[in-house]
Amino acid sequence: MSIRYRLLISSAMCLALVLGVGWLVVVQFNSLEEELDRSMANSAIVRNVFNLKILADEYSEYNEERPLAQWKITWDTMRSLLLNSAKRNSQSSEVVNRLIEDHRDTNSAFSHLVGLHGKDSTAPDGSPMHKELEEKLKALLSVKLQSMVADASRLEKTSQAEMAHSHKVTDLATIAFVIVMALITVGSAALMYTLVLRPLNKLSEGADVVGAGNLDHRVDVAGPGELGDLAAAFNRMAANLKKSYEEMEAEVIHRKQAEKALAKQAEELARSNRDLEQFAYVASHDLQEPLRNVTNCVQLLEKRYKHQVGSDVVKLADLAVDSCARMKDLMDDLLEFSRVGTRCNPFEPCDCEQVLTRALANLRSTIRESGAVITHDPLPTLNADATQLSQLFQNLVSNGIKFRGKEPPQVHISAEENEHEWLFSVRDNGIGIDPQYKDRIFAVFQRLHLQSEYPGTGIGLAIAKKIVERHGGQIRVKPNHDGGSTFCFTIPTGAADNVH
Amino acid sequence: MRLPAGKIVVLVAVLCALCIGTASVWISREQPRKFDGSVEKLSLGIYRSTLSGLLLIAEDQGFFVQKGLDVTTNHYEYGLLAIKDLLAGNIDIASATDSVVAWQILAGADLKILAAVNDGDFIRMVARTDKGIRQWSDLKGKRVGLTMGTISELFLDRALTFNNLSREDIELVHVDSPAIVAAIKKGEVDAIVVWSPLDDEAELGLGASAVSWSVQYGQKYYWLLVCKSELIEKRLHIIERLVAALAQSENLVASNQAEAQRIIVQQANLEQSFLDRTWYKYNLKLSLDQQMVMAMEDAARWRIFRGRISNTRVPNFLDVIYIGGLRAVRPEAISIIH
Repeated sequence: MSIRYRLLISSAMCLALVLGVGWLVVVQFNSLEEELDRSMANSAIVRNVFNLKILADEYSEYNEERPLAQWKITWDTMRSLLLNSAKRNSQSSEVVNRLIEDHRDTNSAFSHLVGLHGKDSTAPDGSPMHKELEEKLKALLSVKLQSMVADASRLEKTSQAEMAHSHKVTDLATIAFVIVMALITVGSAALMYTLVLRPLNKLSEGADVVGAGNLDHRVDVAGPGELGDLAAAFNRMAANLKKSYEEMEAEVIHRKQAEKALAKQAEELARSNRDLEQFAYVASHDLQEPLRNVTNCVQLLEKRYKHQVGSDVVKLADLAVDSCARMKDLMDDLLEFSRVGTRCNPFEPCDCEQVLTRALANLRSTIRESGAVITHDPLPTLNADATQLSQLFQNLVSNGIKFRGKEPPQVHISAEENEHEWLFSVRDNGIGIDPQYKDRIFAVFQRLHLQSEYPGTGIGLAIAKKIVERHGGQIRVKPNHDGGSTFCFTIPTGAADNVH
Repeated sequence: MRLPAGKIVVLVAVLCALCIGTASVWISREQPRKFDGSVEKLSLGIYRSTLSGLLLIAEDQGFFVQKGLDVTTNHYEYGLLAIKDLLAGNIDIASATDSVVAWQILAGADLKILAAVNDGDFIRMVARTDKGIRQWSDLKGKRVGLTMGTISELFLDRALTFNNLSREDIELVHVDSPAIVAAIKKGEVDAIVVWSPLDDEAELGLGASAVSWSVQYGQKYYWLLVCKSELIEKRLHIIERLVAALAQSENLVASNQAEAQRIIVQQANLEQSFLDRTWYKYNLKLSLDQQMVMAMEDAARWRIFRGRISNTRVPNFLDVIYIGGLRAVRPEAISIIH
């Protein structure tokens, strides 16, 4: 049975009990009130009997109007009281009837007494007959009134005893009501504790245990009802929570393993890069000497035996020398490329305009020969490797000059500050780059043109890219609408140190 | 410590309920209400002493005004003078002892009794020990001063009888009450029969040579408010207002005795020490007792017995008691069989 029905039934039972006992108390109080009224009426009878006695004495003594008038008033009042008493005191009807009879007799005797003192009295005032008659009437009146006093007192005692009994019963009923109320209160509290509070405590404790991490804990709230359903729901929730937790734990383990593998790969990659750079550096540096020797030997052979060998041999020797020269250029570029990662300076605040000026100075003869026009906007000061930044500008400007069109080359450098970085643009009016090669041009020794068309090894933009990436930025190229290309690269404003 | 929002709401609600409750009690407490009907003029003849305590309090506290009465008070040295002024038509209501009222009615005066405003034991004999008076029997042949025609005469007469003396055993001297204390102090009389506070004044004046005792022998006397029949016939409504104002005075006496005493001391020009000594003798309550009727009949019989009146029949005093005023205001104070 659900708690709602249990509470409804217990409330209905309590209400019925309270109404029952309450009704008993009300009935008893009404009874007590009736007894009180009856007792008061009987007390009034006693009081009036005494008043009649006093008034009769007063009249007998002084024969005055006032006691006579008050006798009549009191006698009438007594009659009403006795008639009411006859209705109320059914158990004492004998006493009440005697009182009514005596009451009638007293009036008769008193009337005779009054008549005796009246003008129409048959016995003249002062005569022996008058005196004897008066004495007898007084005695009769006295006996009757005395009898009334005794009966009225008896009646009052009876009603007081009944009132005391009624009082006692009322007290008992009141005590019973209080006890019932107390029992209902205790019972309600016990019921609430058993049905609601104890299961709620268990649930609360269970929630604490589960909250502390013990997802295997289950709440044991026996029995049907709302709290049983709640406990079952709680247990299902705990089970689901455990399942989710286990899945999440497995996911976390999986991700950690993946992260570890990734970190290992990154480390491997970094080590491989370092090895590769080292290899490139060593290879390009250490191969310089033998290559120089080969070149010198071939040139010496050509020089000594030029006239002894045929022209074919000379051509081959020239080809060998050119190849060596070409190989030397490649090795120089490779060395330079490798130095971007190995021979670098710490980042320091550097004025980009000064850096550009230094780069342009390096390109002075190229610029003069080509008639190029190099312009720039105000450039910022930022944290960077000034040497590499100069090389970056130099590579991009020389690139713009080298791949010029029919027009005299024009290169413009600008910079704008975005949220966390500076965006540099090196715009030229050259031959432009097909968008399909926008990534390829930044690869090492990748060329889009024949050596005969545009000499070079194809390392310049690769170095540029490596420098930008070392500074934490990115580089890309985009075609201009009116021809030529614009190389855009970013240098973070504050993160350069971190990257370094 | 921070309280949860729920507790703060409950606390605020409880405080609001307390404030509203206090304000309601404050607003609904009993306020003197201004009378909004027509104000009636009323003249009272009173004797300024504790006997008239309820009247003095009502005058001082403005209870008469609150009930729509514009009261003028005339002061008299004793009740008989007030009754005479009432019968002469100079005042509307007089205050006097039950005996004086009974005698006046016995003599045919048109008087109506409205209520008793005090009762108790106030008549005492004060005698000089240096004249050899220490007990009743020592009064033989002595000059006893009293104000004739007042209740003192009745009580003295009865006390003499109780002590096996007669009026002929002593020399009765009429002294007006204002001069009675001086008379004993000067030795013009050997003893006096006086009412409070003159007894106290006389005893203090005589010092160690004074002796005093009660002459009432347990019979209370009542201080009554009386008027002529025409007041009831023509201005019945003011009787109820008057009694209601006196009921307010009675409430004040019951609830704040110290304040009531302060007013009486001030209005009657008494010493607080005197009131402290005698307060227990007074019963400052409105009443119409059966005993009061019997006391008046007793006084009338005495008067007839003394042959000072042509009327030989004790009147029915129920006919001269108007219970309507007191019944409307305080019915439980009526014990007359009616």
